[in-house]
Amino acid sequence: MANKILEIDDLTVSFDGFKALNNLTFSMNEGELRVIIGPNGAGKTTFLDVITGKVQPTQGKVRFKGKKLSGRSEHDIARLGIGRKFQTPRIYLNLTPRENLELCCNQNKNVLATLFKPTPKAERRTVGGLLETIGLDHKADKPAALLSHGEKQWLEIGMLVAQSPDLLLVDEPVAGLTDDETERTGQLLISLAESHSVIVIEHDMEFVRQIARQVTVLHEGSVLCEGTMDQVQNDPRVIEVYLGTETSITPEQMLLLRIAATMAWADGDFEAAEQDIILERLSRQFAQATDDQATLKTELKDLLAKKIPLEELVPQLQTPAQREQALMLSYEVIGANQINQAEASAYHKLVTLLDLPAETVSRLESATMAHGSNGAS
Amino acid sequence: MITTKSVGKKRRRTLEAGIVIGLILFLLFIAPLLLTDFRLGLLGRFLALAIVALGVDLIWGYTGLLSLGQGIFFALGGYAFAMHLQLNLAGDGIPEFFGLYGVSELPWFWQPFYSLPVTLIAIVVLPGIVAGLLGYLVFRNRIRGVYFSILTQAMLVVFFNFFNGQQKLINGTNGLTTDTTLLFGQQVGSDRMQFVFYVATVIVLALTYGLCRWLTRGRFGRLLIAIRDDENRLRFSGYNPAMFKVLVFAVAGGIAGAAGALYTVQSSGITPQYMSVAFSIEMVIWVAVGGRATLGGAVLGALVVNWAQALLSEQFPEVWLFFQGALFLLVVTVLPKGIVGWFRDDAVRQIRDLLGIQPQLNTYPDLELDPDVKREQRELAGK
Amino acid sequence: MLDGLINGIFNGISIGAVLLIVALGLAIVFGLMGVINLAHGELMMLGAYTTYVVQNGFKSFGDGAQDFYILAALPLSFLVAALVGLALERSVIRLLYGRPLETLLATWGVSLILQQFVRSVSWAMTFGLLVVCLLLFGGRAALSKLANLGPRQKLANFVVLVLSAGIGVTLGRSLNGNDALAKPWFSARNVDVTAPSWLQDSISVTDTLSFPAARLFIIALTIICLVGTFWFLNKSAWGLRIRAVTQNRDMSACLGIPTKRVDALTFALGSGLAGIAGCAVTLLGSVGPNLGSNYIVDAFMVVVVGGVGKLVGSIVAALIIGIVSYILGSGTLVLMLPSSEAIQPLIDTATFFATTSMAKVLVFALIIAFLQVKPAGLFPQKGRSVEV
Repeated sequence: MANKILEIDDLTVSFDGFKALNNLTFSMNEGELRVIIGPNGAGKTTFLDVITGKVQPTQGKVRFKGKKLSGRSEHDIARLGIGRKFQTPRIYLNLTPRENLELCCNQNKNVLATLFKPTPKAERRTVGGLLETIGLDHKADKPAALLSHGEKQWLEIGMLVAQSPDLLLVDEPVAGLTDDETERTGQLLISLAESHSVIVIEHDMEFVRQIARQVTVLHEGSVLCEGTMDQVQNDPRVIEVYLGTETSITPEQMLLLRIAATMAWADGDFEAAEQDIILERLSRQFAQATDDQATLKTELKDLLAKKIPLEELVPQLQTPAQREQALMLSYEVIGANQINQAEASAYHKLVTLLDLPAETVSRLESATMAHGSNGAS
Repeated sequence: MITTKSVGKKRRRTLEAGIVIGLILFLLFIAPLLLTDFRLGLLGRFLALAIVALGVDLIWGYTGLLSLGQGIFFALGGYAFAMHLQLNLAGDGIPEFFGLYGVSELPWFWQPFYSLPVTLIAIVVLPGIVAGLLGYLVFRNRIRGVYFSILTQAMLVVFFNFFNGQQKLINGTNGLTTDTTLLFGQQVGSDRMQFVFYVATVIVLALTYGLCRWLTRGRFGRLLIAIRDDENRLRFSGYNPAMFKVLVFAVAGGIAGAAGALYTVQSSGITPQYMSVAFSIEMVIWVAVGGRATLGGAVLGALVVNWAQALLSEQFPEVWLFFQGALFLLVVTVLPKGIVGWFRDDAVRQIRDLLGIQPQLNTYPDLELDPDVKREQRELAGK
Repeated sequence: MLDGLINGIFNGISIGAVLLIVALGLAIVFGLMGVINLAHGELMMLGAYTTYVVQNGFKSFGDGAQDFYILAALPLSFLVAALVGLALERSVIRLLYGRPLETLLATWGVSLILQQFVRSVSWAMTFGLLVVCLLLFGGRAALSKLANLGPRQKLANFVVLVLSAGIGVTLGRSLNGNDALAKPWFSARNVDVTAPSWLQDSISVTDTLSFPAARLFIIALTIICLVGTFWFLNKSAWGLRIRAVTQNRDMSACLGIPTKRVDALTFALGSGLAGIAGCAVTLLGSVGPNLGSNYIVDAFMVVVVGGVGKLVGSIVAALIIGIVSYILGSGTLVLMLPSSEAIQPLIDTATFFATTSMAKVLVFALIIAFLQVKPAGLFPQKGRSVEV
């Protein structure tokens, strides 16, 4: 069993009676890349504040590599090997990127050592290498104030690495970045995770999906659930937390919905007719929430707003019955309007992925057709 | 690329050293020929003030600590030296003023100042330690920004009250005079000794400049700037800013002490007025006028403002306070980077602006060649 | 013994009340706006001089009127200080929001100017200043209306400034030739304000215990100001806006709150309270250009010890500092200690600090010690957003 790098036990932080963290228990293995998500006010940033010593816990313990962290000051904790990147980039604008990195790279951070010892060659080399990694070598000697937002984010990640911590805490690394930059940031974090333990806090679900192996969901100051991205995404409690209304769909039903939604999104347009089908089928299939369909509809629109690759969704279907259901629902959805090229190819792909016998497919299709026309009449 | 950069750096450093040495030689050999004794004495005092300005620049310009209490350390240095001189004059007895209050026994803390070497060390180390201690108590608790400024001002008032109220210990509000005292058998107020002090001031100023330059360049200097810009971020990188600030504050205190001692002997004595609230804030404005975070600016500012004060208050004593008040306002609102910073960054552009000359815009060269852009330029010109 | 203690506490409370009334305006300006106003003491001084002028005005009505000058002086002091504060906010402080250290230096400059202004203001100077203002603002308005100068606007404004200043100064200096016009209104010397007769008495409680009416009046005035301020901030519409802007400036602006006007109002309110404080302290001593600087540092200590942004903190801090200062400085502590050999060093120490100025030394040492335990003051603000 791997060593625990971070263990948090029954942690509570309260500000004047308001509990920002509430009996939170959390642990993480060495070398793990963990993503923490949660709605606004879930306590994500306070969680980092406690680990880095900025906020002292009201109750509970935080252990890093077996050492207790409570009572230690921020710089002490940083020297133990915890580095933090802030939500908005906090770099030194009046210094150059090279100087920023050298500042963090400095291994002996005592006053006198900083004053009297010149920067060692090895550190200069490390900094040079880092500048290349974060793509700032051509701007290394200009004031950091002139960098773009994305470059600043990268510089701060670079500063974090320069510190050579064992645990990296990264708060919203892709906020305000372009898609391309986001993608590259993700790759950078994944490569960092090979040699460090990393905790990432993020809102951007696409990005989370790109990097996440293990996800922890925080809600109202405690851990709501933990697991892989798919487990978490289909967990009804998580959906409830993000959408604010109670839904009674099971994870399996959620999966079906997602596949259907992906089909509906195939032509880049989620038509009202398609939505109606899904809703109607939902109510028939799951026989719930028929009385306030309007609310459910808007909810589902949010829920199904994202297109997720079929390759990821389909393998999660476990029983043949589920596969059949998925096929029927999808066929009905795309059949709601004139089937176009994009939809046809998406449907074709689904059929291939579902890997059902050909006769089953045609049987289901005709059944659905008949069903659909019945429903219409 | 790295080599050209370091060559440029080296050249800049040589240039700076050249200018500093040139100025020292000028102050030592040429200025005495050009100025009357009175004016030279003034210059000597202003140079002593320039030393304290360097200390203020170190803590405010570079580290972001606006101390309104540098007068404490300035006066401590001055008192240390004046006490030694008083003891010198008294010989085997005790300084004369004690007689006025019926004190017959020398207070214990005067004892060490019999010795010149101890005094010279104390001039720097004593204010340094006091500054370090006060700094430690304040910085430890993360009191910073304006709170720090207010607290230093309060400390100043407290020290002033203490020195002002203790006649029996240090002659209270009358202070200690030095011009009639003796050093090396010479009267301190004599022209010869005054010239010696002038030379000493120039040398100490140069040394202080070197010390500040050494502190502000390299890793340590960058760390000071980092403390100024975002101290809390630094904690998460594993530094403890409090200790750095304590060190810098102590160094600035020591510098102020040396300046105070040199100023005291060139202005015939010390009184608690050296710890007046106004004087300590003036020290800040010298640096602001010259340009903070530029060492040359601190020296320049101290000299310019004090010359202006000498000239104006000789002729229109009433106007000086108005002028000084306006100076505070103007520097903060119109000239936030000070004279040096303005020349470096904005001078050309702003003068152009004032005269209404359109600045030349830098655009991409290929954009200029674009036929559409050319056409548009012609149209605009025609308009 | 008991009388001594009660007397000590009463005097301490009355010192605390003075501190509090001075610190109240400061607490508003500093606590709500984050502005360090070193000219606060000078606004107080303006209030005090206003009181002096009002009193002289009432003197001309005869003795009967003299007794009630203070009722007119209080609102007028408030008004004068608030107007000067308003002008200060609109001309200088507005440019410096978010730069507290620069604000501190600029307001110090203002305080120097105000001090010297009070020393040397005369009719000649007033006329000169009026002319400068008229020419400057008139000239600017005319320029911007009549001519479209484009990029040369700045240069033109500069020229107008220099010209009007030149004309004004020349006029002022030529008027200075006339002795009547050149005579300073107040000069650098201190002036005395005679308290109304009903405030010069003492109210005796027992034979040995009596409370001076002036001090009781100040305590009452402080309470009224406190209640008024509390009501204004917490119950009135403008108070709500002020608090909203304090907490989230951008959001308030989005909701249509005129944040600039709120700033001006807040600053004027704080300044006006300084004026009232100035009026109050005329009952305790003479009035001079340096009046404010005697109070300002102590008042800042009250705000720092109380915790910034909390009125209740300032109240408690002012009372504690007042009582401790009085008990130490008046030697009450020495009297209260039983004389015995065992605590002789303690008595010696207490005697050493038993003057007003030495008590200040000790009180400050205590404040520093207190800040070691509670760096954010008695009533700190909590939460994630406090320290970024």
